[in-house]
Amino acid sequence: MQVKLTPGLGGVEVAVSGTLTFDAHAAFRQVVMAQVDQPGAQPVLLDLAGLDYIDSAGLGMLLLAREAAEKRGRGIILRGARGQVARILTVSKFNQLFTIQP
Amino acid sequence: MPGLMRLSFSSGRATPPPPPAALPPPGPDPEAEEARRQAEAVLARWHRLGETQRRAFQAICAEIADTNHEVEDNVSGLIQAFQRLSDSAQAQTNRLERTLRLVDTLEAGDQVISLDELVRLMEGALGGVVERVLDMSKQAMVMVYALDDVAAHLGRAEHCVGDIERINRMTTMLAFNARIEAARAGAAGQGFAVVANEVRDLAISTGSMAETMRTEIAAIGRVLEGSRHRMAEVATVDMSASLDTKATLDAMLEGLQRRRAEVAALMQDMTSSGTAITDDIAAFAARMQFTEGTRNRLRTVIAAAEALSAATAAAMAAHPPPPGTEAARTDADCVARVLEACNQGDVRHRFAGWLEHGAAPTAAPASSDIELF
Repeated sequence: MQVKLTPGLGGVEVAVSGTLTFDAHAAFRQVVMAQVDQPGAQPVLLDLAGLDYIDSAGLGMLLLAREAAEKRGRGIILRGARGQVARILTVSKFNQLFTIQP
Repeated sequence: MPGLMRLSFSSGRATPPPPPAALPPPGPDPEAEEARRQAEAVLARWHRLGETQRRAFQAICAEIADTNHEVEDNVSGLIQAFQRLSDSAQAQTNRLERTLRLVDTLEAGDQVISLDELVRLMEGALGGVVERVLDMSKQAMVMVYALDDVAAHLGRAEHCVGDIERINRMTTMLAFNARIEAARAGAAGQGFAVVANEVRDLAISTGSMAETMRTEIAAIGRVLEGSRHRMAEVATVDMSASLDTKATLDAMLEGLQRRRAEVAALMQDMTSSGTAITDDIAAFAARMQFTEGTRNRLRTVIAAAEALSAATAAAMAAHPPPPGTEAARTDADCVARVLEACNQGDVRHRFAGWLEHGAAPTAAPASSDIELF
């Protein structure tokens, strides 16, 4: 998994690419969770356009990120998911937990 | 009196001869005698024709009545048959509708579930499984992150043990130097030597304890690593099977919806056809009701023929045949023409009975007399 942080008007945009599996948990915690666990009024934007594959561990990490953001009173936007990632987000009904953007 | 006209066959005259006036008294006049003889012959012929006509009217009345009954019986049978046909068509439509409903549903215990509802139930079950998998994965990741934290703390503790061991080595060296200096001091340094030995023993104990701590920390680290691997296995589930199942369920649902639409169209067609058949049968049955009008018309015709027969009989009674003439005889030529006009064997047989014997025949006609159509 590769993570790229891009500062924007609404806050830092986190672009995740590659595969989001258990092996990426340390990097996810170090970068993504750290960004989510910041005070702020704006939702955290996760750009998944470059993400090719995700398994249940990756989905579990996204759920933990959501919990951490909620503690800060923030939401998470998942943007640009495609292919297997988009389908698994649909099957998992993530649209009921996250804001999904094309 | 058209009937009389048709049944009169007297030498080309259009009307039967009127009843003769009172015959002149017999006389010796030969011309008058000839005229009287001719008049009596005409009267006798008129009686024979009248009897023939009377019997013919009776035969016509009987034939029409029989035909009327036959038509009534057949039409009644046809109406009943059409009613049964209508009932059968309706029952068949009902059975087909029930069959289509059965095809579209599934019995589960005392519940009847439609197939698309079943697919939705399966979708819900899949969603429940996915939800539990994700909850399990999330909890496993919580544990993994906790174990990571414990491992980090353990690493720092191991580092502390290293510090203790380094300090202990310095302490040991210090005790050794103290013992050397105590030996140089001689008797004055004996007390110092005792302290140096105690420090050395303390350092040895501390070193042993540090070694034990390092061993324990390593053991905890191995347990943590094992637990981490197990948590990784718990957290990691390939969701491809769920995606395949979801795709299959979507395809099933789509197929079921398509089939339901086809079945609905089929049922609509069946209903339309059934309605059309029922309407046609009802219209046909209504047309069969014409028998009521026909029956009345035929009864009227029978009444007219009976009136003609009675009028003929009355006329014959009013003007009896001349003395010496055989009463109740028919005109053979007229009878032959009537029977010749009957081109249907059984009708001819019955007319022959009436015309020749004055009553309907009691025996059935010979088979050779019946034409087959």
